[in-house]
Amino acid sequence: MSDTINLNTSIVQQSLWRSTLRQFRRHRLASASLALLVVFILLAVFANVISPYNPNDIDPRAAGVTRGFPQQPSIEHPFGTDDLNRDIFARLLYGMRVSLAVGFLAMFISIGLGVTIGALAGYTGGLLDNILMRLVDIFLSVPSFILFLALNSIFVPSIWTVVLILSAFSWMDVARLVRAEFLAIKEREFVVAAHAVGAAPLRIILVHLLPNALAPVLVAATLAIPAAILSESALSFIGLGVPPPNASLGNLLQDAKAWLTSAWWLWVTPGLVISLTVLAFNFVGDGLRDAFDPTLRR
Amino acid sequence: MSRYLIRRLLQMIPLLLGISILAFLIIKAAPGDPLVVYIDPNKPPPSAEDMNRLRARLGLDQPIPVQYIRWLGNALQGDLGFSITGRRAVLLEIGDRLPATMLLGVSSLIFALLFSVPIALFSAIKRYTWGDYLITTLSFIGLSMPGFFIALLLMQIFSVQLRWLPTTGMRNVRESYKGIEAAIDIGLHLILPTIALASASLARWVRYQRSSILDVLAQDYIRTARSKGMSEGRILRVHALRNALTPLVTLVGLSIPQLVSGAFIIEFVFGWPGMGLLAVNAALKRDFPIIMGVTMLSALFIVLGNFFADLAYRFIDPRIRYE
Repeated sequence: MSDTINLNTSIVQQSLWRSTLRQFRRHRLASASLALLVVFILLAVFANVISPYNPNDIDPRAAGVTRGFPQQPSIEHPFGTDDLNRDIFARLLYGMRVSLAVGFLAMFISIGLGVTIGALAGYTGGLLDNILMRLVDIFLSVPSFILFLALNSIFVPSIWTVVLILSAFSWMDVARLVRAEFLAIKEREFVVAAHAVGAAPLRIILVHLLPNALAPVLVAATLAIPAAILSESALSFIGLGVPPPNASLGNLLQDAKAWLTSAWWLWVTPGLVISLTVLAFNFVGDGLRDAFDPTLRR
Repeated sequence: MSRYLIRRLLQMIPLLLGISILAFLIIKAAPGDPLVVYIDPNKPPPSAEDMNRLRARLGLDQPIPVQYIRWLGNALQGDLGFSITGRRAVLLEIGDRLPATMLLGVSSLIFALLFSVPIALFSAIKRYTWGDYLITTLSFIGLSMPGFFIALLLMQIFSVQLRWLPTTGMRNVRESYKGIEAAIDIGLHLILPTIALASASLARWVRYQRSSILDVLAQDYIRTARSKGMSEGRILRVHALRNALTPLVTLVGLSIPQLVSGAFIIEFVFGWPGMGLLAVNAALKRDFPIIMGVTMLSALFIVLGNFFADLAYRFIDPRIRYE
């Protein structure tokens, strides 16, 4: 008996995922963006293999000749060099690695926080729910960017502090989303039945309630990555983000600030890479949202 | 109505208290001695006795809850403390910078509002044409470019290459304009920061309003209006736009936090002498009284923005009742 039920649900689930995938592939911009992101991620992961130069190395051959002024793009340095003769292409690759890592890590932590808090609030209800939701209100009304600045000037700057600070201020939407989903379905028969057969609360949350919130959480997770990348780049641009000499996409723009008018290649390429990455993530999130929405099925 | 208003206003008090506690705790989490910023590196280091006296005078020898209560008591009387780097009252420092920030914020809001409605309308009416695709793509790009990158591009094109507009600041410091000339001078300095700050809101609003207009155009009463022979222009003006634009009120309210944080970095890029530039410099120099003051003032803007958006929405849309 239980075997047949399991079999049935697995078929239903599989076809749900398959149809979602099919729907996603119809969204051409989203599919193209996903391909671009895969390329970017591979470039970032294999930065040490691809990169012809060490990103923090000062090119010894050019030292003394053009030192102190950025070199224009050339065959040797396709994206030019900065004023310390560091290769911009290499710094871009490593910068992408740092920025993508910040984006993904901040996404994982903030989604984890949001799901936990939202599940707790939605499942228990009552006073705890009330307290947690007031906390959400507070975090949503805090002008977070200035606290990012304050926090980054307080703590010893590192990639991890940036990640933790960004996550600490971006879990609220997911918490609301998960809580709403829980409230909507926790009185339904299958949940009551699970209670009746004596399932533990954790099991009910993980097995019966949470999967229902999966689609919106996945969309929120996809969109959390570009948001974190944008915040990181803004913080690094001000000089309170990822500490030098590490390259992050925002850091590259900060380094370029002194050369805005004289050496465009220092800031145009990293700016475009940030924009393209964020754009691609936004398209993928958009495509996912449409793919999960059964009312848009054709 | 008035009962709802009062309840809503009272709700803002615990919210603002919560924000101030959170901000205070974060700032007090700073490791190291906050007195370090007071020490002049060019003079011989002060004695331990002097340091203790200064610490007691600033109340820094008290436990954090006591410090918070003190800060709160002072803040409620309009005393936000003393700026360490500016060597004067935080309220005066912020007061000096507030007009510039308000000018930039309001002009960005107006810019985004003025342009988003017609663009969204065009995009919705010409749905699935190349014009619509162009607008949709551009709005996605606008949402994806960091504000400071847009700022740098604008600066590079319009100030450096074309030399049409000034690069940074709020006034031309080499001239001392009076009256109308001074206003024009500020206006010219305002153009690029306004566009850079407004671009994200503009892109977001175009996307929301396009789908909102499309939703309304699919309603039964629009079909009724069409079938009784009403002209397309009149349908849009009388029936569609009024209903489609109500969510805009909420959007404006909700975009205030983004506008506030966007203003910090745009002011930084353009050297616009507002609250954001003050806060960024305060953060770089660890001037915490200023950070605390700017945080609370920005939070007040955000909370009030949400309040008025809520109120306006209920005022415009009679279907929402005041429970």
